[in-house]
Amino acid sequence: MLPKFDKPPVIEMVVGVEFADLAGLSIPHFGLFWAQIQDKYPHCEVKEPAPSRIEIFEGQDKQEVILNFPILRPPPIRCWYINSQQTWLLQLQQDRFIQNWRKTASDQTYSHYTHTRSRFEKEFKRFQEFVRKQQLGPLQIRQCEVSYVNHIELGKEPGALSELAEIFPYLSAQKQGDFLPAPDGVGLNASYVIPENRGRLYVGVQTVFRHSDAKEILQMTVSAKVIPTSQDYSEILNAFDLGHEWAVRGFTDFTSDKMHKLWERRQ
Amino acid sequence: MRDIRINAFCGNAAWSCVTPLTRATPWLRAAQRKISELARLAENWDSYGSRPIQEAAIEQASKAIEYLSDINLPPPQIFPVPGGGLQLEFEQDGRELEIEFLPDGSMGYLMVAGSGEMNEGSMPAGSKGDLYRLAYWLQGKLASSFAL
Repeated sequence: MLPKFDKPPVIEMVVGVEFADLAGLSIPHFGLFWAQIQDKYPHCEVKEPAPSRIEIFEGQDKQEVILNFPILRPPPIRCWYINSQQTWLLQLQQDRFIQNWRKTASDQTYSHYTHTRSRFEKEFKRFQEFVRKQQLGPLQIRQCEVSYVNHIELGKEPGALSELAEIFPYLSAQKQGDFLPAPDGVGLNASYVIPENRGRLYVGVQTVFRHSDAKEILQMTVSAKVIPTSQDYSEILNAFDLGHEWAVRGFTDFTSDKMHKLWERRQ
Repeated sequence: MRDIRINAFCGNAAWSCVTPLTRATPWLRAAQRKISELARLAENWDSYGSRPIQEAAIEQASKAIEYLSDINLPPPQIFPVPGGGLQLEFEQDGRELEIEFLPDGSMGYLMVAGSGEMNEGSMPAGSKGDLYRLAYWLQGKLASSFAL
């Protein structure tokens, strides 16, 4: 049974897939797809695409290099489709389909994984149908992602910046002497291989300045990237579930019992 | 332009805007600390019954200083505005620029050229392009009569 928290510090959750580049997905398609979802996502923003990052392991072929000839290929873009409450975001680019949920008010209920995944599934089915009708080619899913962004407020919760070890036991042996003062900024990245080279879990912790309330806080990102073993729909869902399990267990392992109490861990 | 908002480690997440402190310049850190300080002003901070600084103004000002930190500007003076807004003030080579963030997050500006000529107006919330144009004017890279 996975650990559960009644008050997790989650402010954002991501469920998404990276697929083999749909070279034919050009700017008009982004608009045509938006027309299909505009009732649910009335706001649209154009962004730079995120770079591809498929997990590679020793002995495997290097990631295929995609040559980008601007004359032959449509200019790469990423579209953000946002709902009117600014809580749900769909991200689409030539190799990515991502569903984000975010918390915008302190009293907003956290969207659990099952809910976010089921919302992703519904939207992705619509996108698959769109790709089929527009004859954009097969959707070959290369990687599934489940990520959480957590905001841990300093000062309000135990563990000031100089006491990060109280939040992250991993850091308990880091401070040896007493020469250095408390750091005024911290950044830490760790990655873990998911057995049988199924993917990796990434954990990132850094002190950040949050724009919405001008507070200095700790941002902890936990991101599981899992490679599906086949294109069967059930296997894609299994890959998400494996990613979810690693993200939740990884978060729990990485943080202290003291913080678990504060976040009201149930199991 | 450098974009230091966090997205490198988890490119598909981090929709909520933050700036990693380890990558913030001293210019940006100083401005962020001032905004943090002003964000904690209590009701009636001006003794005339003003509201605290409103979240939309804090958020837009925080975004604006991050955008502007990419450009070599002098450090801004940052003031609270009665009613719940914030104002950034810059001065360079005799030119003055004020950018006001209203309580609802919308933005206004006032440019004062060395000759005393003034231009004022408003711009959409979060308009990065407009902020850059105002910064370039302050640096003397646009005509003194330039207006948005």
